[in-house]
Amino acid sequence: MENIITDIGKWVEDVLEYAGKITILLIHSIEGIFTKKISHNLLMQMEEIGVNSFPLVSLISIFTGMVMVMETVKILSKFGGEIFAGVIVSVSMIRELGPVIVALIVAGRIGASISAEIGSMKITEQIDALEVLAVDPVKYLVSPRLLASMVMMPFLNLIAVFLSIMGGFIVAVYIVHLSPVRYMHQSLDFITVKDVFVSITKSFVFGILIIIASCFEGLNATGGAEGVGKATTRAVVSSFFLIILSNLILTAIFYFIK
Amino acid sequence: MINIKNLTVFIKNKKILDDINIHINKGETFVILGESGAGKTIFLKTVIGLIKADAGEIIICGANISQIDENKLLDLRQKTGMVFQSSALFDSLTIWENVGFFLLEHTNLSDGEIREKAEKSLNSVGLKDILDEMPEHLSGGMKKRVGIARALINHPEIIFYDEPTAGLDPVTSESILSLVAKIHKEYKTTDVIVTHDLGIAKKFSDRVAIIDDGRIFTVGTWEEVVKTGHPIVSQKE
Repeated sequence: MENIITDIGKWVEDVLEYAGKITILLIHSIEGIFTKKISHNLLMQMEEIGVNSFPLVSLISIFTGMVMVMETVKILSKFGGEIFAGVIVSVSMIRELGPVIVALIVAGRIGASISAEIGSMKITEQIDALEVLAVDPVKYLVSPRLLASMVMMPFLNLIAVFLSIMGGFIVAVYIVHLSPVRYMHQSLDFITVKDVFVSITKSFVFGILIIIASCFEGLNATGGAEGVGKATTRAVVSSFFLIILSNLILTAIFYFIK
Repeated sequence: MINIKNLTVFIKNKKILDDINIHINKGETFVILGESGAGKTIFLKTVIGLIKADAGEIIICGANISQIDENKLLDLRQKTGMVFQSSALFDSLTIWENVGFFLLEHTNLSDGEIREKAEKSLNSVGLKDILDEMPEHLSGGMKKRVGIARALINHPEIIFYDEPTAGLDPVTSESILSLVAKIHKEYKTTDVIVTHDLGIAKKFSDRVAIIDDGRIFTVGTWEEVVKTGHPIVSQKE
């Protein structure tokens, strides 16, 4: 019994320590956003996070929209409500699936690459070299990525929502033979300003969490190639966990806000 | 020039450096000699401020590095250069950007001017026509030279070398050491060299300190150090 309590205590201590460290990293990197020397890295990071993620995000969003229409039409047809398939796609994508799917894709693609890149910089003393050259590694490496993610994630999310609706449109119109005008009308009619706000807020927060978790693991990588591999795995796992957890918290908050 | 008093460092609750006292004079080539795990690299990283000391003080060019503010730290960084064991060149930058990195980050000089200075610095370490190469295309010896060129770009008063010959073949090692000696003479730098290579201590040092298990065993000229009979010098002599 004593061991279990000790283990739980240790786990809580570790979680609090992790939360404290990533909060400090977040504050430090936000400070870095307001320094003058951020621009040269920013466009490159925006391209990497936003433009280069676009093909994968697009493909997965279109497929998700298609699958959702196929699955929901079957059930809705029992009640004569096939036309509401569009509503289900648009509302679930904008409120929940869009931000989460985009975040999981970016975490897998960008989060892993960031932690591997920064981790290998750490073990090859490049981070030390930055400090010796009087450059703050957090401001140089984390801040541009954070700002790029803050800007690009909401855009990627809105594109993902739109493309999933269009993916659903293809199935709804060409396979299920629904009216294209009614599908689009139903899809867009139920989206409110609040839904768009929630969606953008979620993707903005997820973008921050992915970058901070990934950079944190990279900056704390130890050992050789194995250490970088472990840091990369931890970055992806912790990003996924933080995305799901923060989605729950944000959904709960917006549920109570009228 | 460099004054280290009662320096103590713990890492993960283990004492790595224990009450180290060293004074390094201006213009001197000071070699810290020790075997792997003796605490040499930790010592160097603590002296240049990459690792925080748990006790003691480090005064470089009159500034106490543990109490220094950001502006003074920048001044101090300008006066010092560091050559890393792994060269630590930035993978994503070209050679001229690596060499001119300090100027790119801290001055308003144009890219053309910085490129020119980087070229001069590279020429002084015997490298030509590699300005637009990426670090991955260079050999170990060339990377080391680029690392030295990067340290030289501000004409520093002090250069710290971490294992300058580690991982290099004997011929390349010899050429790097000749370069270190040439730079010391031309730029009149104070050199602090951390190494396990007795040859460096013997040929290039004005004074040597033997570090063993985190403590300074002895400090003196090469001849004085040999007389102490410490295993690191007596074994291989």
